[in-house]
Amino acid sequence: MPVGCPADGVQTEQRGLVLSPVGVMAAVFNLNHPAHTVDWEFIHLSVSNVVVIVLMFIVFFLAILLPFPGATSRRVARRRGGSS
Amino acid sequence: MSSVAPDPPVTHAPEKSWTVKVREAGVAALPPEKLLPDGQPTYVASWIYMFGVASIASLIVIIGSGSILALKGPAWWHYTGVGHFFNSIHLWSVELFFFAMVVHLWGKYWMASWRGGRSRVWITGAVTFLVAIPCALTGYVSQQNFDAQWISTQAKDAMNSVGAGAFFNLTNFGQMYSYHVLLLPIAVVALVGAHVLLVRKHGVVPPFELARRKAALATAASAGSDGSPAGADGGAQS
Repeated sequence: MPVGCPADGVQTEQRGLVLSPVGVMAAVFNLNHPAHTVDWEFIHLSVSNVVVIVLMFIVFFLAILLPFPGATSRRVARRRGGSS
Repeated sequence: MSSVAPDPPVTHAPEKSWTVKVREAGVAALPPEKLLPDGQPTYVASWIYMFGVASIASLIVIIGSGSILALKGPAWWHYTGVGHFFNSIHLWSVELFFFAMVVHLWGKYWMASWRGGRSRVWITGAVTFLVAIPCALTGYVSQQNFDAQWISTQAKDAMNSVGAGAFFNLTNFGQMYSYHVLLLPIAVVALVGAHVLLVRKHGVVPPFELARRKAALATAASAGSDGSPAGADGGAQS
């Protein structure tokens, strides 16, 4: 019996194709091909992994550069209060 | 004949039980106001300090969704929409966990967060990252599909080539599943717990005191000394 198919008479109402978000996305993006990769010397990365790495860099630099809500007012209040 | 005063009765302090010793050591290391603080230093008001707690939040979702998947069995997500939903929650919370953990790692690396006696904080964090990787990879080989078969049959060669195949057999589903749902999650959660307690004990690492360091360097240069920036370590705690 293939994995994922319940035995006869058990949960028969649950049989059938599960329309998953992945399936919906597959209708938007054609996934029926080998993965696109980025190759440079010994580096061999799938495009999806490259996208995640780039996103991590962007989030990292934004986290450093973007002001935190209320940070300035807290700093000013601390200076006025003279506490450490 | 002189009278000799009797020796005073010797009183021994009652020996402390191990529970008392453990309690006193615990309270001394982590008093309640340190364990559950109601405020943080001003410098913590920065987005870069948020990724540690984002990792923990993701881990909670991973454990919750993984527990439901474990209760229903490894094949459940293949034939029910609800199972597929929880499998997707589990997958994407893992993606977020590693995303947040890597940004957290980068941030702490560039802050040199092992300063000020925080080496154990750094080590527990780094080991957590290393243990989380096989925890995730054993999940890939527990999917019960062709993807899992492909990954396990490819990865077994790597294990065999380094002599670990006898102990860590990628094609043994029961072993991989046990690692994935029990042994490695326990290790990750224990390490994260130790990491958080150590952060509470030592406090969040402060940023480098650049202004002080520059001033110290300028003073040293103008004085014609050897230039060692004494006292400009940047490891001061709030």
